[in-house]
Amino acid sequence: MSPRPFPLALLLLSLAAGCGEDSAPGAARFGVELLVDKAVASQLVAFQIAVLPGGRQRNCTEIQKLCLRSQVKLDELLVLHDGKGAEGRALRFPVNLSGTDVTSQDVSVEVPVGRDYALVIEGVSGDSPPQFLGSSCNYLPEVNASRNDPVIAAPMTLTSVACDPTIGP
Amino acid sequence: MQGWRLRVGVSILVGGLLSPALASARPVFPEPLLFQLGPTNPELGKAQEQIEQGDFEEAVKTLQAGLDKPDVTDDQLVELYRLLGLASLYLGDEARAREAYERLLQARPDFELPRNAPPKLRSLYARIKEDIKSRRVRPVTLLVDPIPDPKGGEPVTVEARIQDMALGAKAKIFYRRAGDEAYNSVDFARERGNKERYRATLPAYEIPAEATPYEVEYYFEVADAAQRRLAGRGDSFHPLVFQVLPQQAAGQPAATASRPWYKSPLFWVAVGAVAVGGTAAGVAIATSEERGRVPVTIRVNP
Repeated sequence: MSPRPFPLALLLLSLAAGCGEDSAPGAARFGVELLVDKAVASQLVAFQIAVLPGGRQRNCTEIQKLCLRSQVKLDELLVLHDGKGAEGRALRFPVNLSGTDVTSQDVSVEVPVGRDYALVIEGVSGDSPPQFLGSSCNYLPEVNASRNDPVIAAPMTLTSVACDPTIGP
Repeated sequence: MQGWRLRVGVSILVGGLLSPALASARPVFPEPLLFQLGPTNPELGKAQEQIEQGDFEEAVKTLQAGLDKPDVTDDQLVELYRLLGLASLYLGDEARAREAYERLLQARPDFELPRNAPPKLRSLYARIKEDIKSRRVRPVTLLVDPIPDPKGGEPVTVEARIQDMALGAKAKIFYRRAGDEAYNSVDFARERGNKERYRATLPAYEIPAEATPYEVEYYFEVADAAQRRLAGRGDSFHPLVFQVLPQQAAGQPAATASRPWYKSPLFWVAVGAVAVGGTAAGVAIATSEERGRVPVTIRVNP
């Protein structure tokens, strides 16, 4: 028996057994992305809602890229109430997305009566300090004292950006 | 015989014109339109004479004096620039001639030189027209800050800097109360002694003081004679917004000194607090009236 076929067979065997998935690029990339998404989704612990005046002047596409905190002055934000005694320029609501199919959550905020607002919802992680996990920026044309139509927010795509979205009271 | 007939005819005509019955009737000749009633510009006639006499340097000075007047009509501006271009070219100052004709053409793209214009002038004019067609002429630049939230019941003055303002173009601020459909507008006027500084004033009666704050939407626009937008900030679909502060907040500091004690807000706050049974409850009620509950459905991409 020649000494060369043995190492060659070992190499082929190891490639077939341990590196098979790497040789299929499409499947590997999908797997990694899924893991990242799952990781981000598992980090999501709260939604933070803030409302800005001058909604039509705002560029929602830009706002959604980063923490709102890094883009506006805090005193620009309107003071909100959650109807249960909490008050602040940004209100947090614990995530209540259960199951794999449920991707929405209903909340309500009390906003000063007026027109032309931008409503920004940010995904917040449970890390310390909390991390920004995505944003949904929505134009809010009018808030009445009596009854307001529900705002169906633009879908938020979860992503991980190094930015603490915390907005103080 | 003929003289007698003429006198009779004139008497009838004058008598008819002066009679009260005809005074209210429709005039024989239509009245001139408002824009035709511009002030006269004596510099135009004087410069024309100076050019005809070959005194081009004096003509340039005369024309520049005419251009510095704030109340020059568009037609007068066109003629002032045409003569300035002509005089400058005769003096060999092609740069100034070019600037004059550029400004003329920005406002009157269809302006044509008379057929008897000198060949050199026609050549320069053709080149400038070509430059404007290929947009090598500098654009109008509008520099203006957003209006800070004003007090109600006071006029709001806006200052703007407009560079390379086209001849015949006008700068305006358009405004409307939030919720209204139509915009009103106010023209910017050029400040004396500075060709780039402009000012517009929103009258006080358009932004009255009210008990509660309200918003006014506005935008700035520079448009040429054909209403083509040359520059601007905001537009009718994406206006800027300022909030008119309520009467109480606006006039409070100045009014407190002369206000009697029973009109003091502190007194009435105290009375209100006692009547309601506590400041906290009062605040809660007051704030709840000014807020609206907004249901929100948060959605997350799976």
